[in-house]
Amino acid sequence: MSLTKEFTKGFWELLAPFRLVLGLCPVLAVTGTVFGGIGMGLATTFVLVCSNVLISLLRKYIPGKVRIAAYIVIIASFVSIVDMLLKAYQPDLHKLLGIFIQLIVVNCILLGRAEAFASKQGPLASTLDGLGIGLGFTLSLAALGVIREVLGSGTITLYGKSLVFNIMGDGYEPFAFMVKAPGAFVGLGVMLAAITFIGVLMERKKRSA
Amino acid sequence: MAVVLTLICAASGFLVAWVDSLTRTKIETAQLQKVAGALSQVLPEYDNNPIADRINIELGKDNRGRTQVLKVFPAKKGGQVVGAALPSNAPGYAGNIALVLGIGAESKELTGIYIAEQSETIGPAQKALDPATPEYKDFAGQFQGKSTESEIALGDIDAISGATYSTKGVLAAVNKGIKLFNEHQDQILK
Repeated sequence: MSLTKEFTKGFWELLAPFRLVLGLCPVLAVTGTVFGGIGMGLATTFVLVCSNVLISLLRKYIPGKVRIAAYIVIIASFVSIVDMLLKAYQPDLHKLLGIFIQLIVVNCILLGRAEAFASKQGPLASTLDGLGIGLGFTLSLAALGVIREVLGSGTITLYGKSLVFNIMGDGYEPFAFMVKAPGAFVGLGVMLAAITFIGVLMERKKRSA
Repeated sequence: MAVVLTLICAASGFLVAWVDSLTRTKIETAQLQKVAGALSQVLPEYDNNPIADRINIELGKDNRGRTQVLKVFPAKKGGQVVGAALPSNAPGYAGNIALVLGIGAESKELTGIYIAEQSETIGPAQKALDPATPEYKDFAGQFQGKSTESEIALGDIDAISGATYSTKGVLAAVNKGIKLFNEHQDQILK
């Protein structure tokens, strides 16, 4: 595959979590706000790129039998690093995401890409793979975050409370269901259905062309 | 096989420890910035830097053997301690409520409380506990002037209508703070 394709596949073919159905836990947990969604997406992208690169560089030296253990140690180290960096430089985001930053380590996308891609491809391709899938993930989280936050709170709040876009106006009675857990599942389900539907339409068009 | 895994673990350990050393001071500063905002609201007038003058009081060990430390921020005027602020927390309805309380050195009364962290229910609870709302001034303000000689009883304060557990959580945190202050008064006020 050409290098550009390695990067762009993360935005459609392997769009997480709507086409590559992995990494659902953070999707449900942090998309109550757009800020949380984007923050989590970028943190995951950072870890994904770093772990992909390192695993790709070491792929010839890690024996098959211990590879999963090795990948987990590498991923966990980068998760610890991003946790400390967020605590130091983005304390509001760190508090908002809470324990889900550390749970990036069990996000299946990371181990999945390590095993399926980074362990078999060179570092440049692995970087692009990580970057593409990570940014696609971020966009998905942001999209779901917009839906949930606008419907559920009527406003979009960025950077703590400093930037508030009052999208629905003052008379809007927030549909609080959307920012709670059941709303997350419904939102995820609706988006999953919509994206799958678009995928089916595109397939049909390709076949009849 | 074992060698490779050991090397990877060792290298990871060093990397994480290195980043930790880089970010440690920034993290502590960020945490103290949060406290700074609260201090001016709960302490009487002072001319020192309570954060720079902070006292660490050892509270004994928790069940994992680690020493618990209470950070107290003294307010001074002309070198004399006029009050002190300390953090406290207690469970509310939905999670922890963390607040900072200020106590006057002479009056032995609360000079103010500031609710730093809470995740209570949207509605009457949030309205009264969010420092940005007018209801907050009424709720948190009522603690000013209360004596710290003994615990404050639930009957002595106006509870938040429709948020009893949140009210009890705030009260528990305040009383916990009062208790700690009284226990360590000598250390704090010297």
